Amino acid sequence: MTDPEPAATHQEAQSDGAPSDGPFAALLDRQQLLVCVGSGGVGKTTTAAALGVAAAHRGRRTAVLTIDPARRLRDALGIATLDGDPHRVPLGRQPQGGFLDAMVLDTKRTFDELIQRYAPTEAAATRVLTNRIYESISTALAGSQEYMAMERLHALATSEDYDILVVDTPPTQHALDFLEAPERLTALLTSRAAAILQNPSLILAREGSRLVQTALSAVLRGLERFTGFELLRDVAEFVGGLEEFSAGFQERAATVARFLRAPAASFVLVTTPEPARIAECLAFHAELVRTGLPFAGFVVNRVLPPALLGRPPFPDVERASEGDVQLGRKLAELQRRFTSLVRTERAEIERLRAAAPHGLLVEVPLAIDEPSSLSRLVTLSAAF
Amino acid sequence: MLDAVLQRRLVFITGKGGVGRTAVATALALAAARAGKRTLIVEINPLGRLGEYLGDLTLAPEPTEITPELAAAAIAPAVIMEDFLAGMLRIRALARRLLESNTFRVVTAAAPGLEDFLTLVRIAEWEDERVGFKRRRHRFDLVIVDAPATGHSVPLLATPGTLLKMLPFGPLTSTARDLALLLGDPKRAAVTVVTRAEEMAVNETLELATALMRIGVALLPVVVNAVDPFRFTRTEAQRLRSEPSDLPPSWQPYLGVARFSVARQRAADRQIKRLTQALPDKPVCLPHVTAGRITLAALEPLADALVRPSARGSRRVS
Repeated sequence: MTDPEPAATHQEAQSDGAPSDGPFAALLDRQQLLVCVGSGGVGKTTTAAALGVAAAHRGRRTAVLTIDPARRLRDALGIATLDGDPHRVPLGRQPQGGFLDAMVLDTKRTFDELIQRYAPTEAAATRVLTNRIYESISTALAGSQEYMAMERLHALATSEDYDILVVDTPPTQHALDFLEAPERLTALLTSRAAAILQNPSLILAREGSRLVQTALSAVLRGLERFTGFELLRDVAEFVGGLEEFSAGFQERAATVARFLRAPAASFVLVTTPEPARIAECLAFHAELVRTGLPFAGFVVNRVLPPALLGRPPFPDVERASEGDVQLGRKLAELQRRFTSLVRTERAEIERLRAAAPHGLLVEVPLAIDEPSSLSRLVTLSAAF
Repeated sequence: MLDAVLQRRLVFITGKGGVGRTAVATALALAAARAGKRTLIVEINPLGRLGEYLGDLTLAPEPTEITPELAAAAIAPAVIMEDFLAGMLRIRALARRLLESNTFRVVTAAAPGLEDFLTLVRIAEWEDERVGFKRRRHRFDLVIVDAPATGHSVPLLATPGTLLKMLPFGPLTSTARDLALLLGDPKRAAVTVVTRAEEMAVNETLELATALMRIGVALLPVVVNAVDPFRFTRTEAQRLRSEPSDLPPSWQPYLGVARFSVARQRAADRQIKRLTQALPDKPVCLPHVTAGRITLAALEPLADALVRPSARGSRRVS
């Protein structure tokens, strides 16, 4: 982290022996769940993968669940397929039987499994799964992806196949979108929506307004024209079918919510040192603190080496030989630029430290390019 | 680049999350306004930061004038849905009531594409809005849309086509056909993808460009945002890479940083080259701007860079 030559940090040989203790060592040894949160484009997915590698190195049976994987991550992990099933990352022998499995969130399939698990009867499950609008509801309904991520997490956490799960969340402007979406979805699916759809006169009873009832049916007729099928009937059937297992849904959502707040869960905030990103990260942090979610630390990606600050200014170029003056001026300018950038970055990182004096903080040095091989990811994981 | 944009009436800006779509869209709007076009910039993301960039404004669902040449609006899904319902029901209070109901939310989620469709309808209305004597003059010369990120922009732009396939007859067909004609007309509408000179962003850009061409919408040059304006020349780079022992010894401690910088420059160039080779048009590079807060003043250099003439115009690939 304090290497004066940025290029050199990527040429370190990967260690095959026991891992040294980075700042996240205790977290990686103890926790059952690490949730990576952050803005888009800050390297969240890569961070989640590197944390997974680090946990496996520490002898833990690890799974990393990514929401929206770039093809590149699959290559970086050295596995041919990345899908809803766990795939073993070829890390070689790890201490104490540690390993890393990677998988992607398959929203539809998780929803399918959920339906099957909570359906009171086989027929009830079939009724929902074969519903024409099921597919669009299960993937397009706001919050369904987040809900299913939670669901999958919980299933993995209780499966006893893994000691620790690392999850990569979709980019959001608000950390809580991800966490609150499941509750909103549950509320929606288990509301009296079904009953109302099946019997619109219930609106009358609730709203005391014939007008609203008429309006709703008019709109539904309009929407049916838009979608070209019997939307009303299908929705009623779908939601009605779901209501049969609403108790199971609610119980599950409560369990997942508890799990996220349990002492074994930790949230890791991922950012880059740019002022705008740091501001977003601080807002995430404040939200986590306010809602009592267990914040553990920051991971700051793409940091310039702070050692650059200690340098004396670039030597006087005008005394160089004729041919070198041009290059000397460039080098001096580069040095000035880097120094000024590093100064800004240090100040920004200090803001994170000030916001969470007891939180962990890992700086990942800026690389020439993104990690594209497992060995690079392994090198990266040593930072934790 | 700007010329290609100014020839159109409707330009969508999309790209991977975090690459600076909104900044580029704003810079483009700024440049167009400076070129004398009455420009409307539209934000679709309800949590977007366009208002902040334009000077801490809260954007309204109707165009608000920022300068005589530049107006901005934010499309709020709830508002267009309410308008849609109000149009259907003719009673706005009732529309509001419906929007608040869980039942209705389930129903609209079951009709995917409805929100996208209404969004496009609203944008097309602005594109075609007329003012003045006998309503002969367009209210806006150019509408720039800060469109959603990759994952959502393809289904958004494909909505009219999808709808026409699904419903060849019906009350919405003529609207869908008009939209499809507008989006498919390379003289009027086009899309530009914003990216960065990084491998993952370029991978996603190439996939996105292919998907957009398949929809049949004209593709403007890709914009590579945040390119480091500091560069070593080829000769300098070669010299630095070959461990120059002839350079003054007092320079040696600084060469590590320079070599790292050269390596990053080369990595970025490789990604730009991939774009150049794979796409019909040469990408347009915008300089990296460092700013604690993005403001109109901070975006000026981007607007300037967009004015530079591009090598080739856009080309429609179907």
